[in-house]
Amino acid sequence: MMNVSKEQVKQDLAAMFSADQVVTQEEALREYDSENRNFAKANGIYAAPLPICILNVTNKDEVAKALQYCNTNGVAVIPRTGASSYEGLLTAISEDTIVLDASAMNKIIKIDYENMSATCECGVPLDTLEQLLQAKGFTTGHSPQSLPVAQMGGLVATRSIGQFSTYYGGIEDMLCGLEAVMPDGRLVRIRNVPRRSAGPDLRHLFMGSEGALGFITEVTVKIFTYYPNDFWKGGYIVPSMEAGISTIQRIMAAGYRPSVVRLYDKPDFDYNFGSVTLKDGQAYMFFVAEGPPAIAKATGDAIHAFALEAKGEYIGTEGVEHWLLHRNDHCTKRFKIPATRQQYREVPIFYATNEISASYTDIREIYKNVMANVPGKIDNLVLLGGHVSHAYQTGVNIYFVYRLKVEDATTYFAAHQAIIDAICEEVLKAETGGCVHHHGMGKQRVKFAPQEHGSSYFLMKELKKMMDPNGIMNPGVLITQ
Amino acid sequence: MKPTVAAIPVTRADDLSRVREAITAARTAGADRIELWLFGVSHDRYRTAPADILLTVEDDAIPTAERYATPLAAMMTERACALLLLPAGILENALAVRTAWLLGAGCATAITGIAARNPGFAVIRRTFGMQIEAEIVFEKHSCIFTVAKDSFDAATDDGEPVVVSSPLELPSNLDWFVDFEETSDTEEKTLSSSSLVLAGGRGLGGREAAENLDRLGERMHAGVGATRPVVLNAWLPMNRMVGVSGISVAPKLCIAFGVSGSIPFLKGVEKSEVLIAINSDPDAIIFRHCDVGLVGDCTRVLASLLEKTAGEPDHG
Amino acid sequence: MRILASFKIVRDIDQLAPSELVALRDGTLDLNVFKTIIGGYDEAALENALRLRDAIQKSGGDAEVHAATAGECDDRFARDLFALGITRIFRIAPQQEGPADIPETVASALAELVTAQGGYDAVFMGRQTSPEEHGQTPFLLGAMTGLPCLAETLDLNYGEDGIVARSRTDAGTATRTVTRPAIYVMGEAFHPYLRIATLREKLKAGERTVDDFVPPPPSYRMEKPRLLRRIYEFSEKTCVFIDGVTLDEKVDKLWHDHLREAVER
Repeated sequence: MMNVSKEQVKQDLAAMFSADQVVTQEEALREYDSENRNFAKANGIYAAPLPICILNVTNKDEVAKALQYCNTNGVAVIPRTGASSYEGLLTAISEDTIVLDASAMNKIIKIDYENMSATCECGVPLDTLEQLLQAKGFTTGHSPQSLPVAQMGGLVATRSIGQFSTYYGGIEDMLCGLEAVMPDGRLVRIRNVPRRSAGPDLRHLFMGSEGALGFITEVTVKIFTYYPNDFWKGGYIVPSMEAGISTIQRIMAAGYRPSVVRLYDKPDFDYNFGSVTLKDGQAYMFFVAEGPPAIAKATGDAIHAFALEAKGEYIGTEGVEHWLLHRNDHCTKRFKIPATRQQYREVPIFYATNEISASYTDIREIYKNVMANVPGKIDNLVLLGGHVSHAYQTGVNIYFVYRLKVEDATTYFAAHQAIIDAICEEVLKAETGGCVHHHGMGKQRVKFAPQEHGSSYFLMKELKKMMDPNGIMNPGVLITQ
Repeated sequence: MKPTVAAIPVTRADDLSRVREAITAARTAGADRIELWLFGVSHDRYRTAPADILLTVEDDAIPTAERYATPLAAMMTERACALLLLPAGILENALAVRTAWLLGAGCATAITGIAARNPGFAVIRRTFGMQIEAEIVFEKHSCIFTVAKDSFDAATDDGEPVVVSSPLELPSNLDWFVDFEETSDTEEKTLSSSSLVLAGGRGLGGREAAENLDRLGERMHAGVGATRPVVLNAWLPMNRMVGVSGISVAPKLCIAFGVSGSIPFLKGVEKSEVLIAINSDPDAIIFRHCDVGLVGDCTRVLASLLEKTAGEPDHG
Repeated sequence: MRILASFKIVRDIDQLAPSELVALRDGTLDLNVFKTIIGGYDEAALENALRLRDAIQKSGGDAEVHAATAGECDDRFARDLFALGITRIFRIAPQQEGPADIPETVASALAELVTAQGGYDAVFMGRQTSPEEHGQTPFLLGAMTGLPCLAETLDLNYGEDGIVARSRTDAGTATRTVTRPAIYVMGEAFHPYLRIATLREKLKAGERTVDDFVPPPPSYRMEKPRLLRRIYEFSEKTCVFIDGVTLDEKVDKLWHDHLREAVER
């Protein structure tokens, strides 16, 4: 597909941009997909193709120039900003690839307090924007666990969602408008219109595009007034996951919108929290309600009543406060790459998650079936559990968490794929089961795209053909090759 | 109130500066009289130490806490010593604890502060993963502490201690191990233990400036760290990454070159006593979180500082 | 060979936020909401005890590992340890006095256990435990039982001559062949992480119970450390800009006012 040599690509890019912008050092190339496949890399296994180079760009014109070059010459492009994704989103499937890194495009262009929006270049770290806003009494409302490292472009491209989404929404509820560059270099701007009925919403062509349909260079997101001193918090031990799920359903159906809705089964709780002793079968449920004081209080009071009705044992607010402070510690520990890798070498066990969603009815079946059937299919499971973390009127997500012992690191990828497949297969048996809630399918779950989309799948293929006719943008995602 | 006699047991691996730090600790604790007890160490090196007496104890065998504890306890009693201060170390910590148990004394390891309470002492030590300090008091005037490195200034004055040979004979039998072999490690200065750290960010622009940063680090005897963008571009190796995802540093002085000040980085350097930031953008976030700011091109500042340190040895 | 590993279940206080440190200082921090884990150095103690057992068994000998803890031991930890082949777990009745853990209390309880069990050939302990991190218990146990202590054990090998241990010393690294029962004190060891049992291994291990051990109350010899207060100040930084017309002027000021002294030190 590529009609020039790799050497030529390096030379051409070094001539078009400055030599410093073209990174070819082996150490940088080996780590181009950052934390993906960390377990294998810890054992010296770099099985995925290495890109030709990493090209650091500093403005949208450079993005356009780079994409035009790659589009003309058949060079695959992997867009990268915060480099915090999993699922193989950043991992190349062929060596004829460059990584186009826009993390230097880190200007906050405008914060508009009257019209409650913030406009940023794609390389703005979310945490930076959030800290700036909080200092002024506002918030993005967006808090994915990757908050310490994620940047705005990637957050939109993956259709990300944060820990407070049940109140603020996912990125799809927060995005006002954006600017992107098409593979052929054309610039696309979608304006920040509050709401319109001018045809299908084109923002959705880019949200969740996983780098396969264009390169997002600028985003505008809503900002919200922040009421941190009026948080309502409450934690409860409930007799079962089932009781917890039913409670959440009733809260949502009644019309309340807490920001944090979380329900952990015992295996997940013991591993990720381990602060109080749960009996077998019990679950730990907690909530945060935010917003203007009267709303937060009303929401909290209602939650409390529902929880007690479900025989929930109220255990106070300290556990929730602790979670709020430490909720992203795990992320920061994982990104300590040298230390994490040493640990993988010493103890050949890796921890991973698969987030899925379904209606309340279906999720009960899915949870039951995954917990019952998956251990039998997977050898060397050390842990399998799950938690709910995002609630909707029509259903919830579940994050299945697992730890797998892999003595032979060369089998790691197959072992990981096996459990992903086992979980996704159970999920897709259900009418409303979605096998990817918010990480993006990447390359690890794209095989399920046809099943996931069913009769609408051909539209995804057409979209890809229409927007990226030469197929240079992150090949291997969105549609099966 | 009897005069406070403090003794500093010195063993083979101790160095003069650590002993001088212990002397300062002894003075801070109100010691009227300071003795150095040299176990198997020649008194030559300590001849000008600011102590009242050098007591030398002959010893040829391998130093162990098991061998030294009983004689040390006897010496403390015999010489009416209120306080033993040992430079904290692997041997010294074990020795301090064993000796304290024999005597029924108070004991604390790796103290970072001390004060006399008359009677007794108050000491400060780090707890909770070195995140918070505790002040601990002992009421009795019989205590054995080990002194954490760099917690007290090394006493700079000189003295003329009287040199005395102790008649004490140390047991020479080593009945719990054989075939002992020891190899010295050259002290590896790690980034997390450096008292001066230079950190480079995206503003360095490229490998060349990063190499200059390394060179400046060598000349200034500083640890050199980097932000995540720098290591992802391999301008500096991954193991130099400073920040919440990498190494945390707690130096006396940290200088950040071309770092915008993302929160993960700031968390990694927040324990710096003084943080100086150099960045060409006057609105950079780092300027809200540092002690001293310089608005300017960090690569030019780097070049300038290299000139100023040109006299220093360059191992590059 | 009879091997004992002692461990403590502690709260994971690895990344305390400034607000938590302030609350800790003021005595209002509730540690019960923190995750419970096996203390870091204790993981090394358990792992290296198991490695020694494996090495002995591999060379055709007999070895078993017991574990002991002075404090709480949730079922899930016990299940994991039994699944790893630890044959007995002793839960020593907690006898702490005062706000700061007293090393002599734990050491004397362990000493009683060691005696009651007829002695051990090797005892593994972490060098210090969270949160007070006194670093005294292993050496006190040594003093009380007459067992020597190998501080900063890095790893052990087992061969014809017995246990050959590598350890860190103040000068560097040492190896030695240990000729009698000893306490191995684990700091930053070569193998610092405890192995983990799979769900199937845990199922296979079945239901086992922890033994309760009630030692006689200790007779203290040493003065007990009394915690007076905790010290912590959170300081917000305010930037003072170096002024100057040219960059060279600013660099000169930077050098003279801030850097020169640091370099000379």
